[in-house]
Amino acid sequence: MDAKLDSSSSSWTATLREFFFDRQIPYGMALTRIALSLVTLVCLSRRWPHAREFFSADGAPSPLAANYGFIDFMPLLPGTVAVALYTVLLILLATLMLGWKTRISAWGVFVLFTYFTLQDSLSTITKYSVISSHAFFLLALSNCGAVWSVDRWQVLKRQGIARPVRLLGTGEAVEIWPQRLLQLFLGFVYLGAAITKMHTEAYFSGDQLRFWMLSNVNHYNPLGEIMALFPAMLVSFGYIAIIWEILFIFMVWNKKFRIPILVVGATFHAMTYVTLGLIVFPFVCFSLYLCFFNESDLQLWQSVGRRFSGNSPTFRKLTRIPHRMTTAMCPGCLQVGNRGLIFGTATAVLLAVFVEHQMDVYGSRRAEGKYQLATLPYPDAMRMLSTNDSIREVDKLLSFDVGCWMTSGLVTEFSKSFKQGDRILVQATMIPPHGDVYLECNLHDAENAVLDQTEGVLTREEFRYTFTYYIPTCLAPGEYQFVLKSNTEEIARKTIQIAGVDEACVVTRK
Amino acid sequence: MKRYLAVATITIYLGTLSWGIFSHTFAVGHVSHPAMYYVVWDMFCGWSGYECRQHLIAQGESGQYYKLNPAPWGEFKAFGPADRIDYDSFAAHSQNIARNILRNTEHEPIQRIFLVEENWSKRYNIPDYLWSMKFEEEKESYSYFHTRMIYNSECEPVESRMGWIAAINSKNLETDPRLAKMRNKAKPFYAVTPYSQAPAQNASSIPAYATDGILPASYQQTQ
Repeated sequence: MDAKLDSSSSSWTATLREFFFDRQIPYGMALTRIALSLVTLVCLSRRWPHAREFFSADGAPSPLAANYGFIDFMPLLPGTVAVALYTVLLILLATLMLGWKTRISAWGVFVLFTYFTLQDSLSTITKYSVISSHAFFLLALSNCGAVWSVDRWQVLKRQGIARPVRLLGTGEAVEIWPQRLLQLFLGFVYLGAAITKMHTEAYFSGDQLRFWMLSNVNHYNPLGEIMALFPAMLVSFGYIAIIWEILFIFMVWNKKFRIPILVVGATFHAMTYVTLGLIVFPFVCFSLYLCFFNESDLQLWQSVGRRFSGNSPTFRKLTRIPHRMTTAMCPGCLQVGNRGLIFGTATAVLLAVFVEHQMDVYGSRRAEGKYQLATLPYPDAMRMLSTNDSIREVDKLLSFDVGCWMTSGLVTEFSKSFKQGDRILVQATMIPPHGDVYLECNLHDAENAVLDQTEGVLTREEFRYTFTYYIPTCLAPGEYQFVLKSNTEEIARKTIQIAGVDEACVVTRK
Repeated sequence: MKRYLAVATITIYLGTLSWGIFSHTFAVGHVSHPAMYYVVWDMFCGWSGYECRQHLIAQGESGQYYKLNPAPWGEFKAFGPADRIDYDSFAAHSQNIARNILRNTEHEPIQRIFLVEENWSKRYNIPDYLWSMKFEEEKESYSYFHTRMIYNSECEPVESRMGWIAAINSKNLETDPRLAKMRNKAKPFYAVTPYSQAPAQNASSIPAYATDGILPASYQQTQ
């Protein structure tokens, strides 16, 4: 028995040791290094002209710590120093992407990136930049430059290998625990995101997703606006997302499920672009997914590449682009050397500081003088400074749906044509804060005469109220309207067609 | 030695991530320190039925009003069409933005600066082609304005108010006659002045926009 326990415990520790300390060529980490650095470089370059304004004491920084009640938590740099260090950050991102002085670059990026993002909670730090900070930290701990990097090329060159570019892909085997930590980190993020969804009470009713899809604080999201009109569909997507987020950390290690789990994840993040208008977040997540790439994946892609290259010369040319770039870049990097790199960086920083000074961000050295403030006409100012403490009844309504089907408590509107004897569900979905609302739903005929009246009270914590109608068989076929009133004020109308039973049968027979 | 360091790093790192999950799940210390932002994964935790934009308005000594945003040198659109100030949901950084704009522009002496929220129903964000498919009514967007902060000429806060949605919720509670009656009855009264000299009790409720209005349970801070 003891021997059995010993063997099981030793196999457990052996599995754990193999999981964290197996030696592999870090293809996944190298790909993450390249992709994440590129995404971050593009993302941060957009902010370079605003570095003084967002990140320095000469501007309007918005330190994250202030949101937590920690004032002066981190020192703010003078404008010129901030611009210089921000430029260093961009250069380090480029060298990290190339794998040139990889370790120093990764540590530099981690420290500077985290510092700068913490100083701008309004337009730089988000959860994707936090995810990136974690990734840069783990890249700094890893030997991510052991393959597909300038550093690797230089090592091979020093070993006297005549054509190191050919052997660049072989890499050097290293302990994979930083890669495992990055993979586990992704699992933790998804687990945390699932818990957030469990905490958000309007999540499972689809309302939270619906309002996010109608938000215009992110980029253009045309599909989201369409999907927001079909909330029943959002409920099912909501369940799929949360189940997948919980399963990720447990299933992604399984050989059979690894690819499907990652494909679902990639689809999920791609959907956040078209539905929520997120752009950088999906790219950061795609970059991190690359850390699951291993040697067998490389072999698979190489064989696929060979097959396609044989059939298509264009494809062959495309696949040789990284090789050509490496051939062009690596000798140059070697020629530059350490001194050259330091000199080049210093020159670039000085140039950047000079250019930023010449740009005169605030226009304080313009010939015509400083900028003038734009005046605001008095009526506009009065309109903006008056507080509106009551909401128009019509603004309390989000949607008014008529249908025969209800899924997850939401009426699904397939058609506006019904027949005698049908049960019709009329649902008013209101936008909080609507207070306690007295609702009326009246059925009007084509002459606007009231045929039927129903009423109900929607309490302040509820989202929707559903009226149920049974269309009597004696109701003449024709056009009718449901009229919704909130606190006795009409807020919406919906026109429907009622067909006779016989008429409907004829249609069915046809 | 190297292996021990690696094991220690793995343990500390995974322990920190686990603490973040625990803290977030049970709301224990999840907003206690800025570092918690790095281990709590509350993406898209909030939502609102109203789209919000923020305006900074300055009033000069002459009584003339000025628009401070968008900044005269141009605004950076970080994540979409909204300006930088629109992401200041806690109204914690607008004073820095106002101070920076005033410092770098020419203007008469400024008396007061207002941070004004503009809210409109997200229903009006539905594009016109979809609106006509869904609604029979005309699309008539309406904006609700609400002064959130008032700063003095040095951009120091002189008055802070809750956000518009919280103010509306507060008003809904305060205008409930049953609650108002109970509140008046239950309010502790300490007789520090002789009863005969005490002012008459005012039965009217506190204005909705006041800082100390009644907040629904969902708005109460747990920390």
